[in-house]
Amino acid sequence: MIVGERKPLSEIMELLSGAQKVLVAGCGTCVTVCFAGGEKEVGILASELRMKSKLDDHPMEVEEATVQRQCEWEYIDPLLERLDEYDVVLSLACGIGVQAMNERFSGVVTLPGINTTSLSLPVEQGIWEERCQACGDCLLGTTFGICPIARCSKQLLNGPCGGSQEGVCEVDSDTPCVWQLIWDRAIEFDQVKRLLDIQSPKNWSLSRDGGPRKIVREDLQLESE
Amino acid sequence: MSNGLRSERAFDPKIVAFCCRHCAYAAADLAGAMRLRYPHSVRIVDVPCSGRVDPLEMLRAFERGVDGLLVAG
Amino acid sequence: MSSLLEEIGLERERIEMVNMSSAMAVQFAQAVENMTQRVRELGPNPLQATRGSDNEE
Ligand code: SF4
Ligand code: SF4
Repeated sequence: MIVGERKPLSEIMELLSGAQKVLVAGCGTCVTVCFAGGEKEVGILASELRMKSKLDDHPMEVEEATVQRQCEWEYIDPLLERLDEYDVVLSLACGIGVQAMNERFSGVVTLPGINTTSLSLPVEQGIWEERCQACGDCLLGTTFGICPIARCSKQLLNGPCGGSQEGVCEVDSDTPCVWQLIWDRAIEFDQVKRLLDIQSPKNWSLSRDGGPRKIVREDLQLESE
Repeated sequence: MSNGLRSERAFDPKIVAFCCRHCAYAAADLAGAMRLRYPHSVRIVDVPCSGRVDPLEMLRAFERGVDGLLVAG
Repeated sequence: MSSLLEEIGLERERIEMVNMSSAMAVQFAQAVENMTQRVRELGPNPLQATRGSDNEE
């Protein structure tokens, strides 16, 4: 899932400086399940903002709204009729949601209240680990289902670097060496031989290196468009 | 009528106590039955478990002007 | 939670967690007494001052 983290209150206060009436807009999907920007977090932030601004002697009016998904027009359109009441919208959705709001509603600016960090797996309660970088050319099929792009600090494709130490990455001792994990899994399946083939350079043009990516599915498009 | 008031009476902090139904709330009940004295300005909120209390409720309490919060489980 | 309070500008001492069993009536009364005393020293919730008269409950 897309994972994010709330910005510190001080940064948010700075972003909002000058605003009198603010709508804090949450998203009911990814950022709800990572506890960064769902209805509850919207309530907490709104309450914090009301108190902080009051204590700072510039009380703001802060209201709350959480939609199912901020990244789909259908879900955000109903907000339109309320929007002209506000000086600014503070979104707790990921960067996609924030931009969707800005693209859809020209009259009012939507600012980000969270830092969108990664595509992560909640490995246990309260811990999210990055698992995918959306590289555009998935190679999990050759790495026994373990991603060296997102999980190797150096994105190596042909085995570990010299810094792999007893299964731990040299860049960060809290991170397992992903090539050790891949190797162990290959042993488990008795297919170590497959890892000995040299991988040719990855086609990074399918990732960010090729510029912003776009998918067009003509089969799904509506005729008139 | 007012001559019996203590001087601190000017500020009786308003405390909200979120109390677990099975522990602290029962203890508060017992305190009442035992006629124990404790500050009258506390407001007891019965919750099924003190784990039920989340930051949002606590913030709301402060927003509404409560002076202090006790979470008792 | 206490860091939330500090972010806003309220003292973290305004919150306390205590543990007790249902038989601990004396401890309950004591906890309330302690908390009242502590908050009395901190003074009123500063949000109240600006709030006006709507806290009569
Ligand atoms: S706006 Fe972002 S967080 Fe919300 S559903 Fe869409 S992708 Fe997920
Ligand atoms: S190889 Fe690319 S698409 Fe596949 S999991 Fe890794 S980053 Fe994601």
